[in-house]
Amino acid sequence: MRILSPVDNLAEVGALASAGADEVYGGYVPDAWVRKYSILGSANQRYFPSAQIKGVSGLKAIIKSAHKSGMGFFLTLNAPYYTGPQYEDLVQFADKVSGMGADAFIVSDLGLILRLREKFPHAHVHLSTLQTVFNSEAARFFHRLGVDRMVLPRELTLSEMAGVVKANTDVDFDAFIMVGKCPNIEGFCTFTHNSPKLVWPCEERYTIAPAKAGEKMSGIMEAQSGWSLVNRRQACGLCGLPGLEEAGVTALKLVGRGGPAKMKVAVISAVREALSLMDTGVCGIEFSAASKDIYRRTFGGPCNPYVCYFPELWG
Amino acid sequence: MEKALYTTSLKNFPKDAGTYRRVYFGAEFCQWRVPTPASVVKAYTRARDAGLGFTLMTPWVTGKGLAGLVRIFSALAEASDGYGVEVVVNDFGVLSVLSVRYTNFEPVIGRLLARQKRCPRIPGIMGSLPDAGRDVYLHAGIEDKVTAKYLRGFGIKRAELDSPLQGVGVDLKAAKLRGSIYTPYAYVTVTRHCPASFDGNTWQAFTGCKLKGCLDNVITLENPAHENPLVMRGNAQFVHNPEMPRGLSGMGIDRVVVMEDVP
Repeated sequence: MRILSPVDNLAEVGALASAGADEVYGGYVPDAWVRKYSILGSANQRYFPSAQIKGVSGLKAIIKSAHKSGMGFFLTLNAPYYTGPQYEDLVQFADKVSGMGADAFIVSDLGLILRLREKFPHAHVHLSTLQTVFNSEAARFFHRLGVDRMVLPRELTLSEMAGVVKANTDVDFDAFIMVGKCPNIEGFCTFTHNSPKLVWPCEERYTIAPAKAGEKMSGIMEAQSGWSLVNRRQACGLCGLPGLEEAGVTALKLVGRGGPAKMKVAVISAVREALSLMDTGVCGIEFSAASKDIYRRTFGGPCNPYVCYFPELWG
Repeated sequence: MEKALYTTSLKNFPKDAGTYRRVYFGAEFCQWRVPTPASVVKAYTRARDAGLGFTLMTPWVTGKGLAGLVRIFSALAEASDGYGVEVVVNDFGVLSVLSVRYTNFEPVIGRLLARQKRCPRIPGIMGSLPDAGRDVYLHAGIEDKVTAKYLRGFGIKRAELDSPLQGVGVDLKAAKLRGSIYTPYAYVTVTRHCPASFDGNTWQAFTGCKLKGCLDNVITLENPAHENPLVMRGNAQFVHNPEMPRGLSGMGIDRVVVMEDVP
């Protein structure tokens, strides 16, 4: 399985390749776009500047450097939807980026997928997690549109993922493996991620109470408030690697655009270490224990159910 | 303007149609909350006998959930011959199945696929945006003409929208679609980590929720950054907004879907 890592700047490309990334993805929003729509109307699902590649020359240099290191580069254009004028700007932008050698576009919006297919029939279009593929029929729906690679939602169990993958053998599938875990289903979530402190609505601390005074529902309130007590940017699915391989998943996707290069390298190394263990035949309880040890060394503490990608393996 | 009643339970089915012309029945957010085929047929029959239109709501589904919906579609098709039955889809896999196997049903794009921004933080940022940026927050993905044309090939003629706090400024007419607007709860987000299914160790909703009565509990989540609190029932969060946008007809919206309780 390949490792797909985020990239934000030229300086980190070499380090990501050395750590073991096979492919990288990143986002870029042209200055003119920001002036017209603001960064809160971003062309991709990141609404803060540190998660965007700086300048068209920066984007060009990253693509060139990634290719030199043997890695593909995919550009995220995965806002949940766009307005009419934005489509016109996006098609022009996609044309420019194709000319720079980007290997694929990671897209969520149906309207953009349809336009890319029409204008750039040879471009590779990958489906973002901002779209939702929960069953094999949904995967077929997008494959008919020419999408040749899709990331599976974090909310599927390993056996559900296997069902989708095995029913769509002419599609490549990615699965998330480390870093970000949304409490909610990303492709259906309409929260805005615009806080200057980079704390999103799903990780805020809320005052939670029964809607009707006098009612008791402490278990539900406790379960929901747990999200604000954990670092959901330290998520992990390493224990599920054997299952992902068995399912036929093509690539392991890391989250973390806008994060420090050191963390990107650390998680790539963690996944590489776990894959190497698998290659040497470590399996079962022994592999789970080793995965938990890798997690502890990477994030400095034990994993917990809130940051586990595969709840069915927990316990 | 057609008025429709939203209900997830036969218990709350209207005895008297009153001003309602249609009933929405089913589950939008959780495959474990989907009613049985027998309940759906019963709801359809009651609606038909009361002279009401019938709209079946369906959620996003895994492979197992999709198989369950197929059983419902088959039972409903047999009971109704399909004609006049709408099915709200919140999963493109479900739409695919309907377009091939149940072509007599009228598929409708649901709130999860219509693509609107609905976060209760939005009113606080609208003032800082340029005009074109504000437009992004007032529009919906489904009104894109290219998208709508493609989906019309699957039989889509209608889309379901919310009335979020920042307002609505869609133009469904240009997309050759009709719209419904839900009130007074605007959907915000949905999870599979349903707090009602947490057993202290993990979430049962991942493998087959056996809990009964998850809908009996409604919680509110308040935060100073939000103009209105979030309201959570089962696995979905909403914001209460009784305000309806002006000029619905001009936007192509010809139906109001009334939720008498948190859905």
